[in-house]
Amino acid sequence: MTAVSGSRPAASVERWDARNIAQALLFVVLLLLIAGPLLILVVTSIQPRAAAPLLWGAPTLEHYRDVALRPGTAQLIWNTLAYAGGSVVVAVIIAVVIAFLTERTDMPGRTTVRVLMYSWMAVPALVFGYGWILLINPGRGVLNVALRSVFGLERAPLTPYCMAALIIIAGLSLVPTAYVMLSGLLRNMDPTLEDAAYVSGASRAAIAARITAPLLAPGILSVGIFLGMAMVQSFDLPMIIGLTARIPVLSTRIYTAASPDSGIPNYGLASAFGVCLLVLAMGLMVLYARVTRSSERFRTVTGKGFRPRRIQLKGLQRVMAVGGVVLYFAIMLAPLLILLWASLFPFYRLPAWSELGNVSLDAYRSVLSQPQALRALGNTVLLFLTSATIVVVMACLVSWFAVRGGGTMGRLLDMMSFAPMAIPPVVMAIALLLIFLRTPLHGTIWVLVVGHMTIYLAFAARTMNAALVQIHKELEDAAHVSGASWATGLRRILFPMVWPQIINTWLWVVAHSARDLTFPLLLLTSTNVVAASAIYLRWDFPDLPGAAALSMIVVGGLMLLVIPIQLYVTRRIDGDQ
Amino acid sequence: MLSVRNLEKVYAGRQGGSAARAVDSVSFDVAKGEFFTLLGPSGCGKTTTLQSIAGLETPTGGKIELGGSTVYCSAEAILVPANRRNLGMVFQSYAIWPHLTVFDNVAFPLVHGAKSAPKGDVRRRVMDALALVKLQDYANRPAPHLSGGQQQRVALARALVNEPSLLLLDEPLSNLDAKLRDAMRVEIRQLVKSLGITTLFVTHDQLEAMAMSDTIVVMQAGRIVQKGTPQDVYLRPTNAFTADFMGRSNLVHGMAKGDAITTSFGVVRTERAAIDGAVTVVVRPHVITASKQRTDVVANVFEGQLRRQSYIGDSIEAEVTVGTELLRVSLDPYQTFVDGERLWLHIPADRCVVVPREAQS
Repeated sequence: MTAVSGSRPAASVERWDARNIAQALLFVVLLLLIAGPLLILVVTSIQPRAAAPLLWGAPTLEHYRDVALRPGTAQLIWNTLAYAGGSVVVAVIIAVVIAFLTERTDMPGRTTVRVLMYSWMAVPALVFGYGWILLINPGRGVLNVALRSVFGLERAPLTPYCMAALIIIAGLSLVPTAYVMLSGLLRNMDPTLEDAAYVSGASRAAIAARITAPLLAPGILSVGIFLGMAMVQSFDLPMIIGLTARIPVLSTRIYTAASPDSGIPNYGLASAFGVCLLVLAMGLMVLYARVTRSSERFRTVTGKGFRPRRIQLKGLQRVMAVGGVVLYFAIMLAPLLILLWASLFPFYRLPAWSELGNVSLDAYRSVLSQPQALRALGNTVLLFLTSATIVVVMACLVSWFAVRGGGTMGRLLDMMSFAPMAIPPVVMAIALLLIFLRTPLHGTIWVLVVGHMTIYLAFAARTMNAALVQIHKELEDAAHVSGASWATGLRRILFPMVWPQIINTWLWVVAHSARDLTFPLLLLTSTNVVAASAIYLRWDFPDLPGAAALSMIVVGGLMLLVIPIQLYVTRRIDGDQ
Repeated sequence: MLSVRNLEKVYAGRQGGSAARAVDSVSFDVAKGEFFTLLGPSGCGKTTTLQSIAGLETPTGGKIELGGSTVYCSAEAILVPANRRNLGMVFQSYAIWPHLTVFDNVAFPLVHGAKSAPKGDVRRRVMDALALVKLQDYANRPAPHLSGGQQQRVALARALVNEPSLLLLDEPLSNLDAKLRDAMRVEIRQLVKSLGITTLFVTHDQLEAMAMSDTIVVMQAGRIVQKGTPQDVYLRPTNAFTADFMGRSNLVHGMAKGDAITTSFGVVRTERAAIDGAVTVVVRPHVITASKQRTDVVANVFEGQLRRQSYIGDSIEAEVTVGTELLRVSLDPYQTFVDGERLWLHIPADRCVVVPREAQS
């Protein structure tokens, strides 16, 4: 009487259905992506100097001895920590203020601020850094020239080539990321916690000091540690500013060991430094996990839809708030504007009204007529489309197994997808270089795809986890009871419901994959140049107008992709609430 | 139609904790067309049982047969996945998919189900199902634009559209407000009865269970403690748990000998005296009559003192001390009582239920 298909043994039904095949496949892929490179890295770090990559020799600790005995090592670690810590403090302070203004006050232009902050990911750190160099370099930096003529100074007052400048520039470029994480924290705070204090007779100031700040502190701390982890691993700004300033950090030291200006690459030493950086990042990750776990106890997010009450800004407060935010965006835009200016002249000249007549698009024309630049742009599109799409598909599946699948395997996949968070890109790049050096894949764009897949999976899986947790399990159960298979349930029910988050994650990976310099530079050959490495090469050559024009093309292209999708997604998410 | 044998679900203990037995050798049969209810407090295993039957949860032991074929059997290692069991289910949250219209929600089992309907049939069958729940005018609405009651009707239409062999209802009324709940109770029962669909209903609300069911199974701590018609479980509870769970009751401990039960406040005579020894007498508050004067009736009349009362309109809920016992009594709302007042309580012998005393109570 029923359509219940006859009894089948669980052994055949359960073990190899689509779900279990997908799970096993994911496990193997993640294991290869994560454990493989790390193993190679550790093995290489204990190989004798003479041994070629991936050839076994008698294990030796000479590289570690080298690292430990080098006079510069202590300075190197101090530089790394100071750079990461300093830039995080700068970023968190600015981001907390702006997030407070947009989420908890009635400051005008809140939506614009939010869209600008989210769109910032379209600006490569590399481009931002070059812009700052043009603004404040001691020779002809625009600001230096202006300050000197105004105050009649003899020497240039500003320089990008010092630790303080590096920290401030990196801190500024980190603000949008910090803002995105912190604004969620502020937005989701249960307003009744503050209302209770207000009704008890406390003043606004007392509430802010006694209730709001302590409640947010654990969240801000965990965001800070998270960002510290990212900065310890970062490569782009230390590379273009720090190397000139002779402020090496661990990530750039790994690069100079693996691609020295002269002499043969010392992969063993690079790997040993890589292991050190890995240990540092893992330490921060353990700390992050601890703080996050204890801040769970302070959870202010209840998942209910509510909007905290907004503070009304009056008179001067309002002017100061708007003025401060405008100033911040002016500071962020200045480096982009100077690059735009530089891209409009065949030879760099200081900005002046009188020069406007000589504006030309020759630099763009010349860039777009060179096959190498065109190949770089084509490679970039291929790189970010494939890596973003693969990452999102993997993240969706991993998150499903982590959130719904349960069991040891679910937890294991969850951990494995998060592990790359503690693997610095530069370390992963060295490992991939060692693995693929002797294979035909070396020098292709696909090695970059593998690197980006691994590195960006962690963020994507976190985002999708957070999205899937919000979806009531019964919505999926209903599909299965209705007769839908596991795959149909995911395709027709679950994933369409988290579509905005999927698009957002995809976009995030696209932007980061397009702007990354670490993998393209460490794995650079003549055939796998992408936009980021092409900009770097032109700047180094030096071809300033070409580098500037290419930067503008990349930033413009990414903006065209990021802003419309951001607007669409923001509207979709707001519409649902 | 549905047969469950020795169903068992044990959750492995986490971090040194002992294993939890959510369902403990549960067996029952549901006849074709029957409205069958699993009733119990939260954590009694009723939902786990339902989910095991749905295939959403894998039991650790036992056997489940559906329409003559085995869908789960631990001994033969059979497990038919949820999507091949041909079931309809209404979830506690309704689980209406917010990204689809009402029509698409209801059409889902026909389009993506294991036995998909021919294309031309889908529209007609969806509209028929929507007509059953009187929502045919809402077909093209996005699902989030519906009220709670309407969402529940959509859930019902979706569960019924594929003519399932068994309809599972997982506390479907608990998210509705009181008035709507009363109306839906009647409506759901009428609908499934008129369609002749076998229904398994899970609830923690004894009123719902009694109003809707042909058969009720009362569960406690993973086990079935009583099974019967609504009258059976209400009027003739076989244990103190059922008696208490089915409605407010006085549970008076005593020693039985013949039809006389010696309690702390005197001898209560009962009609049936099947058991001798330690017993519990179950007396519902509204079977006790209270009067301000001593009446002519001699047997089962006890003197007490009014301790506390709360006026709730239909009656006065009162607590009366009789000896060392505190009895809950329903008083006549048209009379006025004063706290501390002396009252004579009459407990009718034919309305006392005697159950064996349980170790913990």
